[in-house]
Amino acid sequence: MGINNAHYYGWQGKLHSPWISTLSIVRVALLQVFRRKSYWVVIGLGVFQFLSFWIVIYAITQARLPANAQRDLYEVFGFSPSPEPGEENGYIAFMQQQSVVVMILLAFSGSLLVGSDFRMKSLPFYLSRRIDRRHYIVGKLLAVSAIVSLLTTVPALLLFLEYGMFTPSVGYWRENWGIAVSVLAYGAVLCAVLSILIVTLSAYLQRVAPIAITWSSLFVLLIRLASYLQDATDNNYWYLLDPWRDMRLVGKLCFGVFLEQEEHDIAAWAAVILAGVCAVCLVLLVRRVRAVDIVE
Amino acid sequence: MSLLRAWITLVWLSFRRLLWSGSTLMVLLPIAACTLFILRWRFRLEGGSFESFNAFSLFLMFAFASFVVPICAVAYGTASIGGDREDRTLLFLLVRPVPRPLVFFAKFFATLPLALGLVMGAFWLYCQLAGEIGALAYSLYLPAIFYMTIAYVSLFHFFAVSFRHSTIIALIYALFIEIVLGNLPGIVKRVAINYYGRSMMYAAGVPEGLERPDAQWFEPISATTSAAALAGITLVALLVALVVFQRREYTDLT
Repeated sequence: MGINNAHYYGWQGKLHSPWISTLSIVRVALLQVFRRKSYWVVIGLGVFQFLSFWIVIYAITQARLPANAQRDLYEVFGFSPSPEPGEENGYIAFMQQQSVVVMILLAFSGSLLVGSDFRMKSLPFYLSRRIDRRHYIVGKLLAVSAIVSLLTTVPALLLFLEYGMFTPSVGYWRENWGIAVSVLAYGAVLCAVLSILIVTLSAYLQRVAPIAITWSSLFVLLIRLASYLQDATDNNYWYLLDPWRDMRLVGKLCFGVFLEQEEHDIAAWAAVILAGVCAVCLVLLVRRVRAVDIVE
Repeated sequence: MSLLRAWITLVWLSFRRLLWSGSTLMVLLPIAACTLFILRWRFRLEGGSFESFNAFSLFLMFAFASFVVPICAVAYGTASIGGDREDRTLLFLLVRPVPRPLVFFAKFFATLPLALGLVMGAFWLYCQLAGEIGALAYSLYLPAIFYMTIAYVSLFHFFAVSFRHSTIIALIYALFIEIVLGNLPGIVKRVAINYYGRSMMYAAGVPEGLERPDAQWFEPISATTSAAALAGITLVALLVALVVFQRREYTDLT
């Protein structure tokens, strides 16, 4: 039977840009992550931390204490809603505390979102559509970034909004608008670096166990080794081994806030290291994403 | 006789599959990172003073025993049965005329030499690189590392037969729950394997110069009790895992 007799015909409507498809990749990826019950254990830890901060802010603002007493109480909980110049703000501290949850969630999501596409040979199905490897890579990077943002940037901004809402005027938001920008800058660095690293690792390692081992070695072991080496040699450049610190320093570099001179000195190196690692990862990722495996 | 041959074949097959896996390659990364670290750091260990022994002991306690040991156990402990569940090949294993307890023990005995070999090998290497202090630390801490490794491997086998995403749960336990529990005051930390391992290390190391921990945060128990606790955890985890594996219907395999 000829194809014309089967009434097959081409699409008559207007074709959208394939970049729109990246949003579908993000949507499907988020659905994949959020429908797994075991992942909700990890997400729950992050939500618990967010709710703790939310309750602390609510309780202290409603207690109608003098400003100094409020400030002291916030310090007890490791939170600083309106820092002095050069001081760390509480929202960034909250994002740093979420790093363990983000690390664990990404270690497991990597295999689900990217590794399984390679392991189950479903990548050709993506690339047989109008999208090519650029769209696939950007879609997956955006998906991971969305997960990171949902656990770090979005809750931090919500806490910023909450604190402002419990004050008598909009003065808090107006005077501390820089905090929101610093949260966004730090969030952008986290999203960019973490998404590139996890998508590349997952594309190569594919299974949960190797991805999780490598990921935790990067984000847990290196912190401890960096701390031991800095302690032994008194050389702050060893801190550059710690990827979380590198990301924090680059976030600060974006916003120009530094606590100590030593931090300022190593921030540029942190940016160089992260840029180098991300560039290498992107090259490796582009080489890995192919419609057909050349050698089986 | 044929059952024994089937069991040995399964042990050998599982051993080879685990050995030539991505996990082996990846678990070598933290071990290599620690080796490079000691090569750079060992100048601090020269002289054989109490201070340098204390520093090396703390590295072994907080980097090696708290990270490398559980990671090696996760790499093989959950992957032995968990890998078959993930690939859905466990079904083909279970339809063979080999009793389930034998399948379980085959997986366990394939895993144990790999995890123990890697952990003990890395421990020996680090102690060799550390020189005189390392030789002392090796003799003192070897039992603690051994007991911790087998306890982790048994516990992660229990996770593997009980939970579908056992690697996730094992890593959350090893890298999150144990750290959180370890930093809590009181006796709540006694549910963690790491607590007993650290207690054994403190009991062996304090007479040689290891600084005693702050009693408010960590009160170690005796080495004998800790060893008994770790052996108990190993046996109980193995028995419970065996019962679960014997009785459970793995509906996720089809």
